[in-house]
Amino acid sequence: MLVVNDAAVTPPSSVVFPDPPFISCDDSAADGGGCDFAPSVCNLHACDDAGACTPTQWIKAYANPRCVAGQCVWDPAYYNCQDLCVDGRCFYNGTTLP
Amino acid sequence: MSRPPSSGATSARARQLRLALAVVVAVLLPLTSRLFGNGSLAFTMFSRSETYRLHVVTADAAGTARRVAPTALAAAVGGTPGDILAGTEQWRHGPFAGLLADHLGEVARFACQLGPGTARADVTLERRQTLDAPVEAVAASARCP
Repeated sequence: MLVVNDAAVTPPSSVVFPDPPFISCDDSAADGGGCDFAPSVCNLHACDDAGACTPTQWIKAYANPRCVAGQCVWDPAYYNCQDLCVDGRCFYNGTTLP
Repeated sequence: MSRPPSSGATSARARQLRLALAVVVAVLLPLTSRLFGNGSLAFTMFSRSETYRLHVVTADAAGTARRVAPTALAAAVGGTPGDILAGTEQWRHGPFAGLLADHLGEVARFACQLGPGTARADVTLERRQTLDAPVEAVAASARCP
């Protein structure tokens, strides 16, 4: 059974994501500009001066798409994977279904 | 007075016992669990991956619909289910489409709890076996208490 977790998920300030995509839209169109969810992304690798990098575990998704002043905008939705984030999704390193 | 069994007879009996035990543990228990229970004693190996994505739409009592990002659902669920839901706004390739399809009603009921005033939640899973295969859709809905 799925259990609700009311706590908002926000990454620490040290976690950095790529810039959101730039997608033009027409906010006078009947469909509201046709903005859609943009592909989710993983956070960028954070490496120290010695070259040691922390693994990426955070996902940023682009929720609530809408057209504002000719440009698609979204609200961020974050998720912290239990393991690695790969290509905008959580990597599952198992051999059987959970 | 009976004679003790020979070592050959003991060995044959032990083989039969091991075989019977293997059949019970490897076949009967998983099969019974799958057919008559919740499948907790049967496990499924990753045998197939496919691409899939999830659409989640909630509506208030007035019928105003709102699309919900599955990642927002994932953040509220957490754990392994959250890992599976996260990022499915877009097509993803992996072994979880069948698992999601089996639990789609549960995902819909959960979506009810995301926002106050949600009266209904509709969840659609789109899946395709290969990149050029036709899209199959599975849907589930929940009326929110």
